[in-house]
Amino acid sequence: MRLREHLSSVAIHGVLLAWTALALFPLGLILVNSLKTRKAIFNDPMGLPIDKAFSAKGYQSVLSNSDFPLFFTNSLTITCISLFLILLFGAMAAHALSEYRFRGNSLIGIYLIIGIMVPIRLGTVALLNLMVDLNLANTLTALILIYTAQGLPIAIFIFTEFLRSVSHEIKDSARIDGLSEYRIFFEVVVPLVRPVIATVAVFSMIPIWNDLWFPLIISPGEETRTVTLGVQQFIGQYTVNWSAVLASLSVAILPVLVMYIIFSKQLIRGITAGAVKG
Amino acid sequence: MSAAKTRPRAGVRWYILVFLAPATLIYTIFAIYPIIESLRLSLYQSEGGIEKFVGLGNYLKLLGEPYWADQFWNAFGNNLVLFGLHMLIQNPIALLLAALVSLPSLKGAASYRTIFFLPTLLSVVVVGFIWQLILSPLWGITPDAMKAVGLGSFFKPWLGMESSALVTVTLISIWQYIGIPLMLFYAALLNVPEETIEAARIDGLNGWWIFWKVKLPLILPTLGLVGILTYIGNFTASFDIIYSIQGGLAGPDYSTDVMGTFLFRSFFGFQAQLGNEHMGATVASALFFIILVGVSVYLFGVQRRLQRYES
Amino acid sequence: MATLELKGISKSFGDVDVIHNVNLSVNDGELVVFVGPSGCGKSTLLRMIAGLESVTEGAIHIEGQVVDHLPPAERGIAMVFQSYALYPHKDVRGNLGFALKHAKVDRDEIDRRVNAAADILGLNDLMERRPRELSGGQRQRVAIGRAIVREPKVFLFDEPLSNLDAALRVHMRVEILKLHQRLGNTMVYVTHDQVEAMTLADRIVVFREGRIEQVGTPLELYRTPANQFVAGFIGSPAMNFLTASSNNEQLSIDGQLLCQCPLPNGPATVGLRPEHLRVDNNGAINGEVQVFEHLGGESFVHLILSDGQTLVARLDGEISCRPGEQMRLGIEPAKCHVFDSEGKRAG
Repeated sequence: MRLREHLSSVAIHGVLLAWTALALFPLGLILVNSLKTRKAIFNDPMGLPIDKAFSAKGYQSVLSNSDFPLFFTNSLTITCISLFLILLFGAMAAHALSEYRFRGNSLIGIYLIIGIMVPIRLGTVALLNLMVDLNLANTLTALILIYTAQGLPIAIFIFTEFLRSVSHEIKDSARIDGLSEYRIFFEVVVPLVRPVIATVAVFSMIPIWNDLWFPLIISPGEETRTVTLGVQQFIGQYTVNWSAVLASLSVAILPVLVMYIIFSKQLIRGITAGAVKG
Repeated sequence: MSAAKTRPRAGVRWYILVFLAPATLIYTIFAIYPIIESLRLSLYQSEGGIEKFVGLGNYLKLLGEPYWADQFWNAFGNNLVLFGLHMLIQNPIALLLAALVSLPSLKGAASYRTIFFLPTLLSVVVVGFIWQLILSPLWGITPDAMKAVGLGSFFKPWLGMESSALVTVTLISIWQYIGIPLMLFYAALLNVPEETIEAARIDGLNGWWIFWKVKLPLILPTLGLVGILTYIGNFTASFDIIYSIQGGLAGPDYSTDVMGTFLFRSFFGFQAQLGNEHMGATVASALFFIILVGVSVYLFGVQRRLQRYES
Repeated sequence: MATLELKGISKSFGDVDVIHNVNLSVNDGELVVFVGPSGCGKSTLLRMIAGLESVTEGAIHIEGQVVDHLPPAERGIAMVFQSYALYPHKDVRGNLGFALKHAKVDRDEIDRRVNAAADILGLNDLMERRPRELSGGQRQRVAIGRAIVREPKVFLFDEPLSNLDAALRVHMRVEILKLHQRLGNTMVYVTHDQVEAMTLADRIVVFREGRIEQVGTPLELYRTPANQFVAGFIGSPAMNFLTASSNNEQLSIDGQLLCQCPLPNGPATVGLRPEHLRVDNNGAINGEVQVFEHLGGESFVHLILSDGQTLVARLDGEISCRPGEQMRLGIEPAKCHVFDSEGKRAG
């Protein structure tokens, strides 16, 4: 019995470690080689960047020859503002739908979450025309508005499910304490939804940060380029300069990696929180 | 008491409007309106800058003219392959990993799930290039590794070959996106009550059978959800990975063309091909109906049947 | 004087009427308990008093003033909820002082009232904790403390003990009783538990389907229930109801005389409390023992009569018997409750 348990535990860890290696190896390979000389990259790809093999030239050419800081700022601006709007407007709408009885409540609720099933990309043709008409083509604002519209349905869905499961008594209690409906939202509901904010944030953030479609179509200009689009176009120019290619990939990975290491606990807890029951 | 939450004061409750308005407005203008407008555009054609109603003409063209129909069916077929491979490879592996990570006695579960989700967070572009480099015969990582285990002669430039490009891109996509079904399965498995599992153990089931007979039936709704999310993502999000690895022409020779890249080319044109707003809208609308069919099957067929198992 | 008066109160949600013309006046300092099965409208009525639900018809007076159009915060009430409704992001002190802070009461006054409430409820060592770090009983205390600091004219309790385990519930019941004695406020307390109602109330109001069935002191309700519903609801274990027959102003069961009866000849229902039955070889009721439960100080006997009716009797702990044995029980005629065919008390 002991032996069998031991064996099965070894087998389980074996499977899990195999996928761990598969998930980490490509990333490690890129990060390690980005710090090596061209010769070392080709002759000894598995070697560590020490002694003669070490070179930071790739990073130098990336950071000096490109607009990476600008792309990065653009992506950060778009992601943060969209996320803020999704969380705020999503929570507000979810609060209204879960707290008040009014005519058309369930109809509006269904309307607002249809977008989960119907991807906004299908409206791209008209969306581009609209942005041109509004003089918003090639602006960050256009992307922020699109991503906010794209992120709202899932945010409203998760917030509404969560708020429906929370006791209404706490809001009644706040009413007895004399709070207005607006202050109830900001002082009681917002702290209440805190546990699912991480869930909503993750679900909304990944597709925004990684999106290639809308930056390419709506805002491809140099000034408004996001990291994802920037990397895509930048790498094309440097296909022969391997150090620069590897360094630019690393530059795109590192911020995400650092953020993930810092926030992974909240992130995973957020994703697996009870609210995501499907 | 499921009583109403009305306040006693009479009159219009403006705050409800204030809470609903921002989300509803942004969503209507930038999500719903463009989709409806695209559906409308698909019924028109422009001649010399003037819009002309052509009814289903664009659709007949899409499915009738060989130039369009060949591309459409090719892309649609590739999408089905993509969908099938994700369902057959990505989701079972995700389920297996989630089942193992959710075992209560497992040591290091937190580290495993953190690592498994990591590729999902990376930009598709970055992931695409990483794998392009790794699989490149130029760099030689893969051929060298295969030589080391005696499989050197099996190496081929998979991404560059018509016969294997689509499968290779799909495997890369699976590598990246497995984190999402994995987390959904994981969350569902954590929600299976401990007491139910203990009851099964007392009934004499071992770990394997507990998974098949107890846990799996209980997480069936999540299986359905993952299925429909895979379906939708496959038809729209697959653009990103194909475009970043194989470019807008979805080479070699359109062998990795999917509806997303097809839509992109129809709308903007690419090299020799001229872009056409109305044909773009038509491809998007066709895609809309394809997704609608899938969602209807899910909502009225799959989900309803699965919900019986919920307590 | 904090009196509370309900005059002709009705409430409907759309086409569904949930409260029908309720009239009630609660005296200053009185603890009135609303009791009834779930869905009887007692909680809705309480929420209407609080101002959380609108009144469809009628008027609510607190201290003689109509409060129907005042928001909850201006009615001079405080409410304790079933789920405690504590703010999860504030510590105990923050929860206690929240309403006052919002009402812009000055800080010294808040501190004074919060500390006073903490003293009364023994919360002094918990002031810096968050609700999730508290046990159920402690949360309940904080919820009550939050009501106390508002110094309301009327306290409203909405099933405040139903989330607690049995032992704690008994303990908190005593605490609430002590609190009432100490503060002397008018209190309205909603519960579905008749034991809570009996032990706490100055007066009990029994509700069924949105109507008041009876109002009275616990003993009045126990001794002279107005109808079969109240009789069955008050008292534990519940009253036995048997079909008997009335003949010449005499009620008999199985041919044995039970008590006098003012009803015309025909079938009637008689209610017998388990604790009023005793072993009596000349008693009117004869049956076969089905189950015998020994609790030490007392025992319960479940009998089946020859016509198939069953009843429970609470007997002395010394008595012992076996299933299948015959047993004969008697009851004082004065302790029989007779009900007519509509369930109303007869005589």
